[in-house]
Amino acid sequence: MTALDLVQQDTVLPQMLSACQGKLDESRPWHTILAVRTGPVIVGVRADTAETSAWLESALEPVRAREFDGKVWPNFSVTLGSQSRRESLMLVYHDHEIVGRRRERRALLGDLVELLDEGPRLLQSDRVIVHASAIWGSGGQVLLIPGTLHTNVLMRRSQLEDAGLHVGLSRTQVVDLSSLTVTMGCVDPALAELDSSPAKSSDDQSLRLHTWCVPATGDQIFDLRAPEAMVAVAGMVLNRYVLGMGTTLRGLAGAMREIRVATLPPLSTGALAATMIELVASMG
Amino acid sequence: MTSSPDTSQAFTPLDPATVVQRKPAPLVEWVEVEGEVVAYNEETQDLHLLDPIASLIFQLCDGIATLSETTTDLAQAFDQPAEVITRDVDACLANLLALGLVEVVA
Repeated sequence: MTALDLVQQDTVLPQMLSACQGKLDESRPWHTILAVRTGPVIVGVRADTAETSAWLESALEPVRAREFDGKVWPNFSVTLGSQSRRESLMLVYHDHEIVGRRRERRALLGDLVELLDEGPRLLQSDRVIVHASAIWGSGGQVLLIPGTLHTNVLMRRSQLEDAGLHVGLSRTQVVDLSSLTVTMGCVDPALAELDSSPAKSSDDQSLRLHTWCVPATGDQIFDLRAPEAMVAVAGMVLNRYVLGMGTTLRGLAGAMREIRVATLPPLSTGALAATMIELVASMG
Repeated sequence: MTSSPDTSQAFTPLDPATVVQRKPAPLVEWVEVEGEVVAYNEETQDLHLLDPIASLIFQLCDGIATLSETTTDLAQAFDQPAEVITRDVDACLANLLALGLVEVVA
């Protein structure tokens, strides 16, 4: 039995109602919300045009849960634009927030699959789930930065990719503290089958954690001592109460001897991208 | 998260015969990292980082030794007058008690 087996099957993912969500709902006529199964959780995905809706229906066919159509919330919204707006960006919204921006459908589907996988990730309880974005270079070592900066990173995604850096789309990462690896692949095997883009190979499923950046209010980056680092990173572990703080602290104590933990002050998106490039380069 | 106990605050000295004990897990979970203790109070859900001296005193709160015995051991170890050590230990324990990390058992 795995941790996911303990989650009640067919849990419909709720949605936070907000003014921003209301604006998105009213911004255009949306098509039918498609119910999609991701692990034991059912989420809703909708599109802005009939063409996009048909593409989603086809692309997500293996994980569709039609029996839940009409019972799900619009957790994810997808806009591909029309033929007359061929050059416009294709977008994925999570609730009201733009979390994916692409110019190719294949890439957008990869992003959507990774986002859909976030639900089961949060339900895992045998490894730590961290609210952080993952960035890695050709050396295969991962840099984690606070999840609150995820949108800023996505805005500079092209710049980072041009510099040879890869950016994980998920804002939550699964970290194994004993092996110090970050699992980049999908938790849900059914979703993993959908995400068959060439960039995803079996080799990059598990990458070594090298540097963990934590939020800071100062104005410069500096390395933290192990005890302070432990306290800082503990705050980013989402399932610390599920795992138990004792287990979490003991796991982190071991990890702090092996990885670098640095503070990351508030930066503009440009400065953040430049910093990420420099930090990944310094990992060797 | 709070840092090490503040020993500058006013406090009531403990009886030398007092016995203090770390609260057991899961009430208080703790781990030592490079000579400093990171402790979690389940009740308040706060993480505390204790400095090296507070960490040492926290670990000496074994529920067996009296305060007098503990301060005598520390005075010998640090080669300091017992009254100086007693004042510092009292202050530290008062803060550890206030943080809910230890409790008086006798």
